[in-house]
Amino acid sequence: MERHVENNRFRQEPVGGSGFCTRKAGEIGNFRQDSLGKLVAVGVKTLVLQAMTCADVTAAGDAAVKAVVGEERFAMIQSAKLLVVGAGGIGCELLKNLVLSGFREIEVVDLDTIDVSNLNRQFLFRRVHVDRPKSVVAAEAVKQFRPNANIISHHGNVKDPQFGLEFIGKFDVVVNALDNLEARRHVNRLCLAAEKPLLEAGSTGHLGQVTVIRKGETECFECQAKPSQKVYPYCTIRSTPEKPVHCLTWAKNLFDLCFGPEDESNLLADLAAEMRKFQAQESVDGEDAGRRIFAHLFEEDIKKQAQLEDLWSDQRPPPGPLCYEDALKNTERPSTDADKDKLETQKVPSVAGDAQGFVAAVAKMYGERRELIGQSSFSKDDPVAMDFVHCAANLRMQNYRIGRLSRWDAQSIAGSIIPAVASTNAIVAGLEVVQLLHVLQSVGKNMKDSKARTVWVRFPEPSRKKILQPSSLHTPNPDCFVCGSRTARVALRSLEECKIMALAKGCIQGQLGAHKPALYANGSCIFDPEYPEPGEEAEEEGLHPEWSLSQWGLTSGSLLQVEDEGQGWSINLVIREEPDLDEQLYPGGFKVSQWPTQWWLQVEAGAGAGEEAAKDMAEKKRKAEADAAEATAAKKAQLDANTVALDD
Amino acid sequence: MSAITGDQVAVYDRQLRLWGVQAQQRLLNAKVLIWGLEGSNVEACKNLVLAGIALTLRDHRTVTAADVGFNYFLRPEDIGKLRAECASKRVQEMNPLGSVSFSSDRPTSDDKLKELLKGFDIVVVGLSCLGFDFELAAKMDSVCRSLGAGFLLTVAAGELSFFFSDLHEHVMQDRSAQGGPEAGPTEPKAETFSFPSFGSWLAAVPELLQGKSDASFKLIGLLASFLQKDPQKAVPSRAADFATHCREVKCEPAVDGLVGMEQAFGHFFVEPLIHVASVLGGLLSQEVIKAITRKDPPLVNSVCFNAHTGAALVEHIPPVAAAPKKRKAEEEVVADLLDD
Ligand SMILES: [Zn+2]
Repeated sequence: MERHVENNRFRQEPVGGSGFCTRKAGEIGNFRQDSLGKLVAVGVKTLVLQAMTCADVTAAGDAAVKAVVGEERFAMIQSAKLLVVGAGGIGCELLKNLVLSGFREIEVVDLDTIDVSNLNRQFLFRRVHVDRPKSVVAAEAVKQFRPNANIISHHGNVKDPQFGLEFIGKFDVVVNALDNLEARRHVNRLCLAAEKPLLEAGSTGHLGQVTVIRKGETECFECQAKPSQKVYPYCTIRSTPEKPVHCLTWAKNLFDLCFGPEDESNLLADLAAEMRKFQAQESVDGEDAGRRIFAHLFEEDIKKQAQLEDLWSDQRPPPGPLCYEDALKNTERPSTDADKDKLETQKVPSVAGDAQGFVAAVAKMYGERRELIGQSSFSKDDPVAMDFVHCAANLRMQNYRIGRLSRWDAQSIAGSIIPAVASTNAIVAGLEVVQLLHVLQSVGKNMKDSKARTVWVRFPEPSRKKILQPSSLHTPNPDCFVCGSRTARVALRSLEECKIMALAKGCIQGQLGAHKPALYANGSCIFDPEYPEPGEEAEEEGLHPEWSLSQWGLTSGSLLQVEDEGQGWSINLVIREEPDLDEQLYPGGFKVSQWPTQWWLQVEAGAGAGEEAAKDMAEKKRKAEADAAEATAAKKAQLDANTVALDD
Repeated sequence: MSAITGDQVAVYDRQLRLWGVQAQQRLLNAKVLIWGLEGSNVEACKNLVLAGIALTLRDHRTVTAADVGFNYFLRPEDIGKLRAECASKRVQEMNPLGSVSFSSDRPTSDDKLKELLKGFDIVVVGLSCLGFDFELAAKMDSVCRSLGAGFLLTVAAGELSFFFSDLHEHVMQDRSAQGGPEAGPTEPKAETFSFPSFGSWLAAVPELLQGKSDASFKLIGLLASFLQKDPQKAVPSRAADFATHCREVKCEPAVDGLVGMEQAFGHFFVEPLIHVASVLGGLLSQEVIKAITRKDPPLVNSVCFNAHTGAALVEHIPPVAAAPKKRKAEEEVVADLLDD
C-alpha cells in the first residue's frame, strides 16, 4: 500500500493552450507527473494558494476538456450560442454539463418557479429557493462553476411573443429540456421556421430519449403523431363515468366551476347557476354551503341521472344517490395486506372521510380563501383544491360503484404526475450534450454523415446488450403537416353548428398545436387571434368568432389557410362534414388527418371535381393508411411506451 | 424501520411514485461509501444523496485547480485542502434530509482496509484514487464480499467511461410497476443474479483481449494487463510503452472516436468530459439503487459508455457460455430495426 502518493502539497498550475494534452505532458517545463499521473507544478509552495483565482480554475477545467475533444472541437464549444428551453429536471443537469464542458454563451427560458417536490432531482435548487424562478436560480448556480460563462436567464413562457423567430435566430442550436407536449411542438415549429437545429429530450421515471431535429434532414418533433392529452367524451364525464379518471376530470371541472372565473366551455357549465349562487352572497356559512353542494351533486343530481332510463342497462346499472347523513355513517375503510407498508395518504379513506373532507374543503374556500373565489383554478399542488377534487371524485365514484382512490393516487392522476429521479435526468442531459457536439461538427455538412443519433434509455434490462441504445435518425415524413406537405384534412360533424372560434381553439390550437392561429378563406381573414371572442371590437374588424362555418360560407370540401405568425408556421386545411363522426373516437369533435401533397394538388385543380376526387382518394388512402398502420402498430406500440417521455 | 416523515414525503414525492415506500425506506437506511471523488463518482454523489442515501465520501487527495474545474462540489477557495471534506459540505447542502460524512483515510494494511470497508452496504471505488492499482481493487472487492457489501469500480478515459459491478449473489425481490396507479399491483417475483468477483474479471483479461467483447472493454482490459505487475506505470509519459504492450499482446482495439493506443492511454489520466460522467454516473447510481432496493434486475457486470457512439454496452466478463439459440422474440426484432 506504500505506493499511494503523499497528499500533494502543490497547487496545479493553470494550464492553457495545447500543452496539457497528455501526449505531450512529459514535455511541459516546470511540471512533473505525480504517481497518480496528475500534473503537479514543481517548487510552488502553498502560499500561492491565496492567489488562486477563478480564472485558474476555468483554465484548468478547459484544459482537461480540450485534452479530450481537441482544439478544433473546443473552439466550436466556446463560440456556440445556445438556447436552453427548460430549467427543471433535465435543464439543471444540462446547464451543469454545458457550462463545465466549456460552453460560454447560454440563454435559458423557463416559466416555472421552484416547488419542494423538485428538490429530489433539480440539484441546483435548495429549500430557500422555493417559489423563486427556476431559470434565474439555475443560471446563478451554474455561473459559480464557471464565473466567465455568459448565462442569461428569462423567467417566461417560451410561447410568449418575445421568444419568437427573431429571438431564436440569435442562436446556433436550441436545446430542449421541456416537460410538456405543447411547448415542445411550439419550439419545434420555431426551430424549423428559423432553420435552427433542435435537440429534443425527455424522461419519465427510469426511461428516457434524446434526438436531433434539423429541417429537411431529420424527422421533426411532429412527423410522427404523439399521444396527446386524452380527451373524454362529454357524456362519459357528465353522466356515465366508468373509471376514476372520469370522476377526477369531473371534479376538476367542478372546482373551476365553483371557484374559478366564468367559463362557457366548462364541461359542467349547466350546473353553474346552482354552484355559483353562494358566491353572490355577502356572508356564507361555508359548512352549510358545502352540505348544500353535496346534496345537490351526490344526491339530487344523481337521482335525476338515474331516471334517464335509456342510459342504463343490466351491464350498466344506474348510479346510486348518496345523502350526507348516510355518508357520515359509512366509516369503514377498505384495507388490504399491503397497507402496512403504505403512507397514510396512500390509503383509501372511508366514505364518511370523503364526505367530511368535501364539506371541509368547501368551508375553507368560503372561509380563508373567500377573496380568491371567482379567480381560483385547480392545481395539484394546492392542498385545498386537491382535497376538494379528491373527495368530490371519490364521492362520485361511490355514486357510480367505481373503486375509490387514495389521495396519493388521485393526485397522480388529476395532476398527471410523472415520476422522476435525478439519475435518469443526468443520463438524458449527458446524452443531449453528446448529440450537441455531433450537431456542432455537422454544421455545413450532411447530418447523415455525422454520428448524431436518437438514443433510447432502456430500463431495467439492456436491449441487445445496450442499456443506452442509439438508432439512426429518420428522414422527414413528407406528409408531416408541420415540416412536410403542410396540408391536413379536418372532418367535423356539422358546418352549421361548429363555430369558427371552436375550430380555432379545439382543433387548430388543441390538436394541430398552433399558438395564435389566423384563419383565411378565399383570401380574406375569417378569424383573427387578436379577437378570439365575440364583441364590439371584433365586429368593427368585420370578425364574428361566434359565427358557424356555414355562416362564413364554407362547405364540405372548402379550403382554409391557417397561419401562425408567432410560430412561423402555416397549413392548408380541407374541411369536410361527416355527420356520423364517432363521438367516442373523436370527443373533441374534430378528426384530423395528414394529407399528402399529391391529393392536395388534385383538390386545388378543380373545386367541385376536387371534392369528389378527394373523397374517393381519401377513401383509398384511408384503407392504405389503416393497413400500413396495422403493420407498424406492433413495433410502434413498444417504442411508444418509451417515447412518452415527459419529465422536465 | 422508522416511518417516513412528512418532510421526506414532500421532497421525495416524485421518486416515491416511481419506486414506492418500501424501496425508499431501504434507501434511507442504506450506507454507501464513495471512495475516490473523481469522474462518474462525483455524479453518483449527487444522484445518491438526492435519492436519500447516507453517504461517506473518502479521498486522501487534496484539491487542485483541475479538480475544481471538473468537480462542481469544489470551489477555488478549497484548493490545497482535503477533497472529501470540502466536497462533503456541498453534497450535504443538496439534501439537508440526507446524511453525508467524509474521511481521508488510506488503507495502510490489510486490517485497516477491512476496517475502512466495514459498515457499508455498497462501496463505489474510483480506480484513479487507488493509483490505478487493479490488484488493490480486487482485494477490496474480496473484502467487500466477506463483509456482504456490494462493490463497484469506475474508470474513465475521455469520451469513454466504464464501471464494473459485483453484487455477489443478488436476490431481486420485485420489479418496478408498469403503468402507474391505474394499472394495479403486480405479483412480486424473486430472481437471483450471480456476479463474478473482480478477481475473476482480472483473471479473464487475456481471454477478454482475444475474445469477442466490444473494443471499449478491451481497452480497459489492456490497461489492466499493462499495469498488472507495476501500477507505477500509470502515468501519461508511459503512453508509448502502453502502445508497445498492446502490440505485444496482439490487441489493438479500434474504439470509435479514439485515434491510436497512445492517445487512449493519455485519456485515463484526465477527468472525463462532464457529460460522459453524467451519463455513466446516472447508470451507476441506478445500479446502486437497484442493489439497495432489491428492485429490478441489475446489470451483470461490466458497463461501458462511449460518447462518440452514444451507446452504453453491458457485458458479462468473464463471458458466460452462449445459451442455445432460440427464436427471436418480437422485442428483439424491434431492437434489430432500431439498431445501427
Ligand atoms: Zn415533421
